[in-house]
Formats: sequence, structure tokens, C-alpha cells
Amino acid sequence: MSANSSNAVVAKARAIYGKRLSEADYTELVRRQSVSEVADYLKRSTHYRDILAAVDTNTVHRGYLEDLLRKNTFAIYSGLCKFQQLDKIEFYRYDIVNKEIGQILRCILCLNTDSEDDYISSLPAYLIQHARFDLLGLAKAKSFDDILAVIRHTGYYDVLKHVKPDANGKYDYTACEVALRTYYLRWLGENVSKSFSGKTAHDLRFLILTQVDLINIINSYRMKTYFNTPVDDIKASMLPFYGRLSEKKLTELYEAPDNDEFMRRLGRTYYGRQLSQLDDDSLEKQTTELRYKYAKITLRVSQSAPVSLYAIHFLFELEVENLISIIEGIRYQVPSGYIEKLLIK
Amino acid sequence: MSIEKMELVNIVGMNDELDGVLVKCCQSNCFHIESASQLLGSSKHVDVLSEDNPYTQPLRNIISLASAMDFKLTGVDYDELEMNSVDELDGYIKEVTELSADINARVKLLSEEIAQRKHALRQLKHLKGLDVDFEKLFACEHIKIRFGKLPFDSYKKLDYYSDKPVFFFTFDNDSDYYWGLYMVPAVYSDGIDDIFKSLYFERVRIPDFVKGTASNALEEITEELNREQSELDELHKQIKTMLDEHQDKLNMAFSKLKYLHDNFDLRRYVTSINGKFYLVGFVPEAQSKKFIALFDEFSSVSVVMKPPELDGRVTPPTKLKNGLFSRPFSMFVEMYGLPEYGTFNPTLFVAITYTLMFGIMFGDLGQGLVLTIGAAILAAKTHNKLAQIAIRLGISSSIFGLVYGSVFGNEELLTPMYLAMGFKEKPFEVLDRIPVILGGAIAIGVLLILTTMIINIITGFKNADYERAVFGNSGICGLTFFGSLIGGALGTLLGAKVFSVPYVLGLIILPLILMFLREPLGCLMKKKKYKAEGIGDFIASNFFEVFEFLLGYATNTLSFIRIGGFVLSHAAMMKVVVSLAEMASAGGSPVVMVLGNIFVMAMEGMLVGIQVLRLQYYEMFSRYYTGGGRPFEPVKVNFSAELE
Repeated sequence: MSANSSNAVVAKARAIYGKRLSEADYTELVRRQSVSEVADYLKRSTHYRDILAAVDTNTVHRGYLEDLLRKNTFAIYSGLCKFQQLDKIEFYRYDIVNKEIGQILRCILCLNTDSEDDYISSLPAYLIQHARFDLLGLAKAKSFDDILAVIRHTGYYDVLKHVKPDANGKYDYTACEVALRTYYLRWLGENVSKSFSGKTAHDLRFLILTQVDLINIINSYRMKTYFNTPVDDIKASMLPFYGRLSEKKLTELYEAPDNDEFMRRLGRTYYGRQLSQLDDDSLEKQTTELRYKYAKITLRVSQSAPVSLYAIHFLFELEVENLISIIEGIRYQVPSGYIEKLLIK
Repeated sequence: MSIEKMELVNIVGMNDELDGVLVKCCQSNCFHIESASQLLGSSKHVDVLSEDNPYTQPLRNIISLASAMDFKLTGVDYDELEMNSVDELDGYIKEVTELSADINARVKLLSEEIAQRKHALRQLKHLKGLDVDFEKLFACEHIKIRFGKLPFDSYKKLDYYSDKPVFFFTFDNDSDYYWGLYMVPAVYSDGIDDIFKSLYFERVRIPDFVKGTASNALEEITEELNREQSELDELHKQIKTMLDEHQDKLNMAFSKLKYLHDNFDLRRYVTSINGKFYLVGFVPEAQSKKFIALFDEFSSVSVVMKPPELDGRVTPPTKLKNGLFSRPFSMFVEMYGLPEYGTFNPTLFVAITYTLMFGIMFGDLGQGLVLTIGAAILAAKTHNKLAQIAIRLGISSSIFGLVYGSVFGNEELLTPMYLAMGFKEKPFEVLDRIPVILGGAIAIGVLLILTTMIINIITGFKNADYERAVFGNSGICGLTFFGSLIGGALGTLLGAKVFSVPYVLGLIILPLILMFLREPLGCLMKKKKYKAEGIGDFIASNFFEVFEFLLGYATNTLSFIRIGGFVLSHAAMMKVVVSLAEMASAGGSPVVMVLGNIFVMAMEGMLVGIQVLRLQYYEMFSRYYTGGGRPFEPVKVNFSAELE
């Protein structure tokens, strides 16, 4: 990719960044009294006006609204990929691959809970034309073998083909998730190495591995705190990639005898030193805020197309998560002050 | 050209004279009100007057009435109005409201019915392909029929439900929805309705008044709609007749109510102690005698004026005092931020430098004159500040156009004039003097930077900010350092040996060291103790700051090269226009010249204006100006038909 093309993508990503919701938008949104009012505000006053142009905000269903917001983020991502023909490079399929894995896992979950019919309603239809396997075929799967048949010609098949059911006929969802996410990260790493070099590759790895570190921290924290999971099971559930936290440091966290010790050890790590407070209530939010901060800084300083795209895509996904928090909060009549505390901005 | 001197005004009197005093304050057009409780503090004897405004409801009533009659209220002179009390005004408003009530009620009903029919029309348009009688469809006992729209994405998922007892027929689609109906046996309708709900199917309720097929229904509804629309138009005409009769009186009533309402609202700034009110504000010193005289008729009211410096609790607002030439340029200063009271008003400096730089960069006699004349016409019609600025810029551009010898891009037209003046040839050919122009631009930049530093030093001393005035990067040390570097470079170019050891040590190294130590030295001058975070932190942070200063000198100076750049680009663009005109036919040549000049004037004019403003804000203001002032806003009534 030429330097001019890269500059064009970086400039475009930064221009799109300028359209993100502001503090004032969030303040207005949390004060709305109903999902219709939220939809109306988004339609009138924000960059979501295009995707909501044909929607009747008085009657729009909450779930449909959330789907449209996610679709908008995907459209931003795919629009940037098509710009300067980036989509010819395999790396730029990363979100599609990630979502394909998400769909396979969702299908497995529905099978395990005997709710196969629920899968179709959550399937994002905009993904159908992009996926490399038949998503509607996946929706019709009634067994794990049916799932394998659908994904047979993809890399996911080799990852899952050896998974066996337990005595109740259920498939270990966590094991499947770890296996597929590991596959994804390996795929991502290989494509970064294959397609990029120098600072671009370094910055991408930083963003990706930071994400992995923070996911490992939060998952291990949840497993310890809420499920009292044994250390060996925690280790087996973690993603085997290490960014700023070495395997040794992460193991120290897993092996903490209690929550307080976990927090103390976390406080001595690279990430822990950047968190303003180490407590149960805010740890998850703070780690996401850290990822948000890195993505913003990266977007501001990077001159590389893939790095800018990766960062801006994450920022928009986070924005949609904020909007969903607002919509769900309003739906369940949560006080606006509480909703605001959940937002990452 | 400075900042208007203010007087701090304290007005005290008995509460029963408060309304009259507030009216006088509004009428004076020179009183900037402050909250008295800021100065008096709070105690059990101090009350802030926060009663309900009795004029709010009548004002709301008249605004609603105007809105219902689709009439825009405006502020007018209400001396002729015979109603004085709020009851009389409210009574009149209610009378007119009752007169229009019946018509408005009918208008509301019709508007709702029209909206419903339009909604039904929109839905039916998508079902035009359905050639079946709606009544027959809805009469089915064993089959349920649902009309509506299915999102585009959900339509893709219908294949999953191919084994369910339901048919979906589409009659229309766009990029977002498929419009149609689904049919399901009544016994399965609940389950199928749930499925379609999960697919976000939005049901469209067909109103009872829809009969026949979709096409028939469309015709009937359109006819009905037209009939109702005609009736609505007739009603609007009746409202207009009524309005013509009452319009003037309504405007007068509104103006009086707004005046009384806004005056009453000012009470929230007033404090009361033991039956007496206390009002505080600022008045320009030049108008203070006239202001005091306004209150002579009030027996209990006393007005005390004192210099604002005597009371540090309230910062006076800023009112810029500018001459005729610089007045419109206050717009640029206000955009950046007003100066604090008592500090330097940069408007004249901005006016002179902006006008000169623009003239240099846009120099063309013909284009300058066109700009001047065009701006003068616009300014006369609209009193727009930008137009007023453009008049000055146009004159400056014309003068520099004379220097460059350029008239609408023609470089030869003024040659006879130069020869008549005694020159052997045209004295200045822009495109042949590129090094001179670029060098001149840098020289202008150096001169302006030195000037802004001098301004900074003077204002720093005036405000007793010695760190800034002496040791700052735009203070005496910065001036010495920068000036010595430039002087040394110039001297070296001219062949003199300037950079001797004493010169370098005394005028370059020493100022740098003093800038590095500016914080502790500034504290020393103020006889305060300096608290450092740690020697390492001190060295690191100040090292990078001084490095930033050095970079700033270089970049700020080089930034002025754009002045030369735009002189050259203007000349080059006009050369292209002239060349194109020469290439065109005899008839086309004038057209090309005119269009080319318009294009260059518009584009270059805008670019040069923005670039000069950028030089003002980034390269100059950053050296001597911080803003931070509050605008002087005398109390007055706002006659917009909106209540806060």
C-alpha cells in the first residue's frame, strides 16, 4: 500500500472520529425517558441519522435499534476497508472473522441450552453476505455435527472437530471459546506479520496484545471472584498470548489467594499502575477505559492505515456499547446518574 | 484604543422603589448587573429576591396565542397602548384567545385528521400491488392477515421459517424495508406473530375508513384529504383576517409584557436587608454622571460609585474602546477572547498588522478597488463587521497593488505612470524578485515577533507579572536572546564578526539560563518562596520547556514566510489567468479575464484572510495575549418570543 493511500485512510479515519458522540450527546441521551426518545435524538442529532433515516422512532423495537447501531459500526469498518481497496489484504477481514467466531459460539450456546430457535433472531443479517460459511445453514443446525458440517471448509473446523460432548450431551462452551479465540488471535498475529512490518506491525501488536492482557485479567478476576474457580481451570481458560504482562506475572495473579491479594498484585503490574483505583466495583470499567485511552492515543498519533482503522473501529464499537447501556438503562428505568457512570467516554 | 474604564455602582433604596429603579437601569443601556449576594455574602438578614414573576403567565398566554394563530410577535413601541396593569393586559389576551378558540379548535381537529389520512396514504402506497378488497380480507375467519413492513435484514432470515404455516407476500420494497402482508391460519397466529415480532416486523394498522382495494382506498382518501385541506385553508384565512385586526395591539401588549417581565426577572440579582434593596453593577466611567442623574426622582435611592480596583471580589467586565479604523476588528479579538479588564486591548495592533499583511499578500489595484466598493455596499446595507473590515483590506490591497504594479493581473497597465513619476521602468516585478519577497516576509515576521515581545514586556510590568515580563520566552530574556540571534545572523551575512565570545555568552547563553530558571527567579522578584517538586523533575520539565521555546522561535519566524508565498501565488495565478485570456478568442478574452479575476479574488481572498488570522492567533497572540475577560453586557429587554 502506498504512503499516499495510507495517508488517505488515516485522514478518513480521523475525520470519522470527529463524528463520534460528544459528552453533551451522552448527557442528553441519559436524560431521555424512553427508547423512542433515544432513537429520535440519535436520528435528529448524531451521525446515526443515516442508518435511522427510514426508522419510525415512535414504534421502533429496542432490539432492532440496537441491531442497527451495530450495523452502523460494521458499515464504518467495511467502508474504510473498501476505501483504497484495503479489503484485498486478508488482515482487514479481522472483524468478519471475529464475528464468524462469535456466531459459531452463539450457536453452540443455543444448542447447549436447547434453544436453537433463538439463534436466528440474534443473527446479524448484514454478516450473511460477508461470512465465508453459510450462516443461515448454521441457524438450521440441530447438533454439533451439523455445525461442523457447515464450517467444514473453514479453519474453524480443525479447531472444533476434536471437541467431544460430556455425559449430558453438552459441549464445553468455555473450551470451545478459548480454542476459537486462540485461533483468531493466532490468525491475527500471522496476518499482521505477513502484511505489515516496522512500526505498523509493532503498533498493531501493541493494541491486540493489550486487549488480550486486559481480557485475561478481567476473566481471571471474574472466575476467582464469582465462581471461586481453581487456579488450574483459570489457567486453562486464559488466552495463551502475552503483551505487557508476561506469563509469569499473569500466573501470579491467578495464584492470588484472595481478591485483596489479586488487587495488590495487579497494582504492581504495568496496567495496574495506570488504574486510578483498584476495587471490585470499577475494575472492569477501568480496564475498558484503558483500552479506550490507548485506542484514542493511537488514532491521534499513528500514520498507519491498519492501525488507525483498528483503533477507530474499536472506538465505535465502544460507542455502541455505551448506547446499548443507555437504552437498556432507560428501558429498566435505571436512574440517569447510574447510567452515566457506566459509560466509557 | 483601550479598555473602557468602569465604575463599580452600588444602588440602595427602599424595596417599594425597586421596580422603578430596575426600569431606569434597563433604559440607561449602560448598566452591567452583578449579583449583589456575591458582595454581601449570606446571612439570616440577607434575602435574595426570588419571588415568582407575575408577568410570566400572561406572557406565556400571549406567546401561545401567537403560536396558535401562526403569527410572529415582535418588539414595538408601546407608548400608545392604553393598558397599564397586568390584569388589563391578561384580560385583553384572554378576550382575543376566546375569539379565536373555536377556529383554533376546528383547525386542530382538521390538522389531526389530515395527518391521519396522510399516514394512511403513505402505508397504502406501499400496498398498491394488492388488488384485493380490504373488507374481504379482514372478513376472513380462519386466516389472520397482518399488514406491515419487514426490515431488509430480517427478510433474509425468512428462509429459516420455510417450514412454518405462514406466507409472506411483498408488494413494495426499498433499501430498508419490505412492505407486504403475511397470512397465517388463525390457530397458529400467536406463534407466528411472535416469530415476526422477533424479526422486527412492524404492523401497519389499516384505518376503518379504508374500503375496497388499495387503489380504490387511495383515491377515496386523497379526495377526502383535498376536501379537508380546503376547509383548513379557509380557516387559516379567517385567522388572518382576525390577525390583521389585532396584530398591532398584540405586538404592543407583548412588548410591554416582555419589558415588565424581564425587568422583574432582574430581581434575582438584588439582595434585600431589612426592607432595603441592594443592587450592584458596573457602568462605564464616561456615562456615570448621566447614570446617577436617572435616579434623582427617587427619594429613598442612593447611588454610590467607586473605582472597581477598591473591591477585589468582583472582576469588572470588559468593554473595548476602539477608534473608527480598528472598531470592526474587535470581532477577531472577541473570537479569540476578550482581554481582562485593565489589561492591553490588542484591537488596534491587530487592525494595523492584519490590514498590512492582507494588503501585502493580496496586492492588486483593481481587485483591491472591487473589494473596497463591494464591501462598502454590503456594509451600508447590512452593517456587517466583516464587510467593514473588508473595506480597509481592499484599500490596503489597492495601495500594495500600486507598489507591485498589478491591475486585475495586468502588469503593464501602470508602467506609464511609473515612467511619468521618473522611474526608468516598473520598479517592482513580483515574479522576478522571489528572494527579496521571501526575505522580506521573514523580516516582517521578525519585526512583528519583536514587537509582540515588547508589548508582552510592557503589559507584564503593568500587571506586576515579573516572571512573564523579564524571564519569559517573550520577556526581556526572550527578546534579548531572539534579537541577538537575529542581529548576529544579519551581521554575519553582512560580513561583520558578531558572534564573539562575550556576545554569545552575554546575549545568548545567559538569557537562556535565565529562562530556564524563570520560575524560581520570578518568585524571588515577588519575594515568595519557590516550591520545587524535585531537582530531577525541575531540570527535566524546564529543559523541555526551554527546548519548546527555541523551537517556537524558529517555527514562528518561518511561519511568516507564507506572506511571501501568497504574494507569489497571487501573482502566478493572475499570470495564468492572463495567459488563458491571451489564448482565448477576441470575444472570449474579456470573459476569461473577468471569470479568472473573480475566481482568484474569491479563493485567494478567503485563503489570505484565514492565513493572516492564523498568524495573528498562533504566532502573535501566543506571545503577548491571553484573553480571559468577561464581556460588558448592559441589561436590556430581549424581545424574542421565547421564555427561558
